[in-house]
Amino acid sequence: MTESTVAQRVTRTGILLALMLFAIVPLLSMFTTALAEPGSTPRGLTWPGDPHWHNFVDAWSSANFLALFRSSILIVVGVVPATVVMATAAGYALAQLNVPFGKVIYGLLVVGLTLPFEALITPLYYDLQSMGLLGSRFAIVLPLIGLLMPFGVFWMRAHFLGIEPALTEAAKVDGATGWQTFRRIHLPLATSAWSALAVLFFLASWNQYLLPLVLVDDPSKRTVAGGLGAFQGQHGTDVVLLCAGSLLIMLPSLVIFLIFQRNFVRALMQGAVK
Amino acid sequence: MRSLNLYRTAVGAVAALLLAACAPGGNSEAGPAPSKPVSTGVGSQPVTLRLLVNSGVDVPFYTALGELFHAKYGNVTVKVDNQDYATLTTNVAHILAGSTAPDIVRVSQLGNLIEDHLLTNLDPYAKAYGWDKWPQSQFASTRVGPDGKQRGTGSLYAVGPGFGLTGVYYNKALAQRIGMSRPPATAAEFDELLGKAKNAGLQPIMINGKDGGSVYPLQNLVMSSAAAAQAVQDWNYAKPGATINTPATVNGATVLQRWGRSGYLPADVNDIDQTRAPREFLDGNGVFFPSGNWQAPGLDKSGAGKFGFFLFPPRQAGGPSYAMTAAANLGIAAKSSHSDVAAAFLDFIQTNTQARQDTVTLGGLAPAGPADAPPPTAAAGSAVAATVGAFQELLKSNGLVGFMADATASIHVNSLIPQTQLLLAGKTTPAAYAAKVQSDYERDLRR
Amino acid sequence: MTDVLLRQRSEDPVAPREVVRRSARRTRNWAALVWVAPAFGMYALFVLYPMLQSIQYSFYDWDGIGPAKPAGLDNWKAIFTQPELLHSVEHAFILIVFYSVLPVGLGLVAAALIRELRPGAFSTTARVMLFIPQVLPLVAAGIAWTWMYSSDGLVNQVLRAVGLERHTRAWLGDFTFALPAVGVIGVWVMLGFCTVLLLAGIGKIEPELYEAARLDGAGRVHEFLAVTLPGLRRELVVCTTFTVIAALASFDVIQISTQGGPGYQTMVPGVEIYRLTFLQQHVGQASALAVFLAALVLVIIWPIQRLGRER
Repeated sequence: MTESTVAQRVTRTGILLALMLFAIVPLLSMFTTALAEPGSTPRGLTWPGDPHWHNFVDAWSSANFLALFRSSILIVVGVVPATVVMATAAGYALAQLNVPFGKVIYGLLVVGLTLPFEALITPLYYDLQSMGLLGSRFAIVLPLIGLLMPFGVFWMRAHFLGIEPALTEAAKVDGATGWQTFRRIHLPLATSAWSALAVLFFLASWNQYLLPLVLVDDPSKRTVAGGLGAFQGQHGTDVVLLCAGSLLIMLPSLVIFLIFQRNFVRALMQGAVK
Repeated sequence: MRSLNLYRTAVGAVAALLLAACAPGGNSEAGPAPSKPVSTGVGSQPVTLRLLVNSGVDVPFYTALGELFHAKYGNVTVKVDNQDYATLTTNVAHILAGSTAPDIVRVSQLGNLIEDHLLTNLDPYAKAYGWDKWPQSQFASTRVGPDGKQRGTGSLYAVGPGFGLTGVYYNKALAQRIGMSRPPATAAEFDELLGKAKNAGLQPIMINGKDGGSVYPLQNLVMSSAAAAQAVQDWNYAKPGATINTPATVNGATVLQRWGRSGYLPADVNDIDQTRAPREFLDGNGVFFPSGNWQAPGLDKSGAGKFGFFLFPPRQAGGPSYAMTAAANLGIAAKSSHSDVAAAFLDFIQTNTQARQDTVTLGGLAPAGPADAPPPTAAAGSAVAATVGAFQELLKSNGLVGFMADATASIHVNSLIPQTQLLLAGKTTPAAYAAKVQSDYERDLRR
Repeated sequence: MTDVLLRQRSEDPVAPREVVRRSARRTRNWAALVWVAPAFGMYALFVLYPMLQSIQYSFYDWDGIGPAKPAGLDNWKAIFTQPELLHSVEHAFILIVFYSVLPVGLGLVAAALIRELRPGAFSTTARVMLFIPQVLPLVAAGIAWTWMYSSDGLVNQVLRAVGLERHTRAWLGDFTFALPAVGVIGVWVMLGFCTVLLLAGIGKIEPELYEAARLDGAGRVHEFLAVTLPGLRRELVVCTTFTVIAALASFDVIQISTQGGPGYQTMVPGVEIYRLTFLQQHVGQASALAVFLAALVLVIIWPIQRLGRER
């Protein structure tokens, strides 16, 4: 190994480490701040001499996180299964069945991929008001199902397009009905696709901020992310408490990602290899 | 099966919506809501009165008032909810229009609330409880004319336990160091003191420019420059033809800009918010802190006797002093089904002795109420005592003016804050400042 | 969640679709509509229909509660004549540099670097670490970086430590630096996504191409330009599409960190729409801006997508 390649390797590793540092340092700064003395203003990144782990307990109770987590879970449970099921069904039909006007339907859905949520928030507000749902969790769940749908259908359709139609034909020869073909052959093959979708939708719902902010007044009926916005409004002063609270709300997203990160990356890779 | 049902629901809902939508809105009838007979009792049925207030000091304060009320009327429970100021200001119209509207809401700006019939007309209650016999200036800012826009005249829509009041706090020890033996008698003298503080290596003024604290001295400078407040008051009340694009505004903006340029304001003024400014001031960063009486309890708690308070000085010695004031206004939602009980609560917090004391000690506000009500007590030499005294003085001299920030629902957030930030950063001129605030105001009022 | 959208667009396998089309040329399967109906129904109800309403509202002067008055094109004209509205759109374009150009560029670098590592703990750690910001709520990103940029925050702490005391400032309150500072938050969020997607793309480039380039005596740079970049075309399109949408539609981070200030320096259409609707109660103006924003996204995304399809 020549000197220049060693130098190159050091440079490369150095650049990579710098980028990794960039990604992680804001979180570390939050973490050390969250452990500082309550009510104090610590400096950026300083390990406190006497870490106050109790701050997390304080943040937990003062932001009423228990109610927020419960609320977020209810919202996720309302959004994710329904959206995944509908998207799987639609994606399957658009890829494998000869849906009348399938192209038009798919085309309209693809437009939805690009629509910013803000562009819809104003009319959604009035629609939900006239449905009498404003302020309830349905006001978050129902629009979110609609807003996530384009991506879901897109994702599942891409998966089902990759399945050999010969499989369907074979099943047909065996006398299976359309439903049976789907249930016995296609659904099992789609497990990795829909489960990856479920994880993505979990993150999207859990992290949702705009919809709860606008559509639900009561912070305890929002998502945790929406609740955190209110928490920031109330405890803007106390940076220690704010950091502790923020870390608490990040934790589920982080854990879910770390658990599923392999599948995550595999889903991306698989899609790419096809 | 479930999805099929959902589909049916969806299709049904789409059809219903399409039918309903010709022009948006349009379902609210014109003219004020018909007044129903009112009663001054609270009845005997158990009632939960829902109160929505700002986060922060409002919460313990109104919770205490609610407990006092419950102690007197056992069948009424007061439940206090809160939202942070910016969120509540932004959403109050929609909260009141919604199906889960609270009974009583803290309203900072009346905006379109009256035009859209979202608040209960309090005139019948004012008559029933005899509020119409009290000094009437305390209700001026929440009277709204029949057009739903002009304030200061017409029917009453909100009352509150007490009043905010602005002026200038000073750090007594630092003031002594720059040779200030008594509060400045004129604006020029104040300006001189700022220069002395700067030369002494002190931070002359601590203020929060991120969320609009810098608008207070601006308004004071405008009124001081005009040596009158009528023009500003007319503007606040949306009197037809009122304008803020005046020489006085340009002068005031010029002075404020110069203060910024001379380093009288903190270098990062536009990043300091209303929670950081008092903390910095308490820590000795700043000789003067222009703010309001709501800060007084906090200052007294952390440094009793260390901080003084004076009203913003007039242009000429002995001239009229002005201060901005706003009632901590509470309105009754038009949708409330307990409006009689809510009105009883509003009467109670203005008249009950203990409630008035809490208004000072917990809310940091100056109570008004009936002319003969006993004044609350405050420790001598405290900042609270100074603010209460100043308020009484101004009540007599007619020196209380509303906040420009409350002129329209969005003038504060959309114009005054960003424009003042631009002014302090030297990115706009005083003349352009005055013109821009005026044009935004006219747009807000749809003139 | 425009977030993770479009992730797989590039992977639309072309060949099988052809097969389906050929084999499925039968009579239309009306029963198949039942499969699509729930998804499309929800989409129509909560996306398409509101979008049409937005268009309708944009021609009215409406405070959201009282009766609406027809306003002709006034709301639309205002977008191009009111400086605040126009600036908010400009800022969104500047944010594209930070949300899109920089993350894609740095992502290419990071992906190339990670690829050259032996697969193992370090490369996995690098990938995971870079991706973390992407999975966190944007609200938390806003809070974390507001703290980083504050007077006592880490950025100033580092500047002081290296003797650049005089360059310390309250970054988000500074007229010159507020927008770039907000932009860096976008880099932080988007970098991991771009890196991981591009890494996946590099993985599928046939090794023979690299060997061939090496046999031709190509240097590292030439290899990158001749093999890596063309091979990543579709991934690049997906990255760009997704990040450009995020830039134009930014809301959470700004609402949490600067609320558009100082002045109007970081005001973006997303925050402006929210304010116009709920604070100013100019629902018509908000809707015009919303429709304009949606159209803008489409107009910008369209050519990028075309670029990806050409072969």
